[in-house]
Amino acid sequence: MSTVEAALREVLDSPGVVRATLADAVTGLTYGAVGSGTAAGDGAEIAELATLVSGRMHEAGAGGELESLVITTARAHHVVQLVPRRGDALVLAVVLDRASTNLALAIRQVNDLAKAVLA
Amino acid sequence: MSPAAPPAPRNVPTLLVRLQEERFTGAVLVSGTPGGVVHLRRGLVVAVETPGAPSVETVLLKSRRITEEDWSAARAAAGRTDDAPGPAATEATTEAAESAPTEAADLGSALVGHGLIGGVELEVVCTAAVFDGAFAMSLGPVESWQVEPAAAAPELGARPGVEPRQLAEETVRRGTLLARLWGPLGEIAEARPRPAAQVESGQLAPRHRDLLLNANGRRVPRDLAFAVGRGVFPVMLDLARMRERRLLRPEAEQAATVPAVGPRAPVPAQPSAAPDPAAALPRRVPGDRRPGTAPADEAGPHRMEADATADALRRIQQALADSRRAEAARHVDPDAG
Repeated sequence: MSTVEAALREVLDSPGVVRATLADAVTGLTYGAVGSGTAAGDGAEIAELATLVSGRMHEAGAGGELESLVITTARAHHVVQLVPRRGDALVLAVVLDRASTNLALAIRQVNDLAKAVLA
Repeated sequence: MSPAAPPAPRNVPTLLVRLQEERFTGAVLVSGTPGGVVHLRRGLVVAVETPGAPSVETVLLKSRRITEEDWSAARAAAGRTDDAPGPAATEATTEAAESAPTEAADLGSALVGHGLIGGVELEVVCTAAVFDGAFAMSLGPVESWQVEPAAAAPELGARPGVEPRQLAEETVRRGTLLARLWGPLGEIAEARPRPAAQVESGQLAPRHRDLLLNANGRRVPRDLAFAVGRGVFPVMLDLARMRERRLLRPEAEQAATVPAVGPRAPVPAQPSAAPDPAAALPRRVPGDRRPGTAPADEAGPHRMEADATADALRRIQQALADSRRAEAARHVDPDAG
């Protein structure tokens, strides 16, 4: 198992998390993915979505960098958290079971997990 | 067409898939433009070295993720002072083959052990470099290849490595994506972008701003990737998207205005250029024979021939070799830093 997968296993151990993917925010390359459940997209699609949103925000003159995207469905919360680093950013895409967490908690939890992934 | 002997692989991706089946450890030396060396460990691709894309070392140092001093200290701790992996292995088989596999692990663990980078991030950078190197090699023709089981292992590699099939698929995806966003890959690879006349920096993500600051009309995407310490593919992708957003000067206008020797490009000086202590140190800037100089100073008619691609590549390869020798000399001599 790679170092990335080992780190993602820890994310998966966090309450409510059913799936975790670490991908490159620019190229969309998936570095690792663990768990089950349907993701909002593969690494490439998630990165493209994040690029589209942040590009449009910059065009519209919105200050500050994109931090996260949240998608909710009847069953799950999908939190796509940007993981900034010196170099191209990563995205940590986490799917949480809606029955076992609330949205505010999920966003906060994924933010903490993202910090831990590169620690 | 004898059923016993399989036909020779018709291209490098096919060869790599076959080597995976054999759980091959060693390297494939690919000659071509740009060519390169593909390192395998138990059938998986752990590193791709090519003049067409920045190495893990270049990415980490040029992006200033790790300082040269820290890098040298980690490398010294890993007990490695030479800088001649890959192609040189045929001459250095006896020394290199014995010690290489453990040393390959050592530099990575020394970097992590010194607290310079986390294990996850290092793996991310190494994996990204494998895909980027393969993509860069796919941009030009392959002339021939040679399988080299005795090649020294790379200094840093992805662990456990990348499946050849996945590498080939991703390379195709990248080519298709860029072709859709911009046009023929050869055209993108040879573009020498400049910023559009009116760009408000408030509209830009920091990495886009960095690219615009370095896009002086003389650098192709590969040069930009080496300059900022990012992969060639992400740089091309960003350029393609910036082009869509009209942040780059249109090519038609550009062709007419690029001077061989001319006024400074209307690019603000890099904010970090002057007071940067690292600027005093030799830097790996392949293709630029004068390390440490500001980008605006590098104008020269010899760098400008658009049709002299082969010649330019020879210079690039020469410069790569020179900078490697300089780097090696620096690491051997403890007083040089």
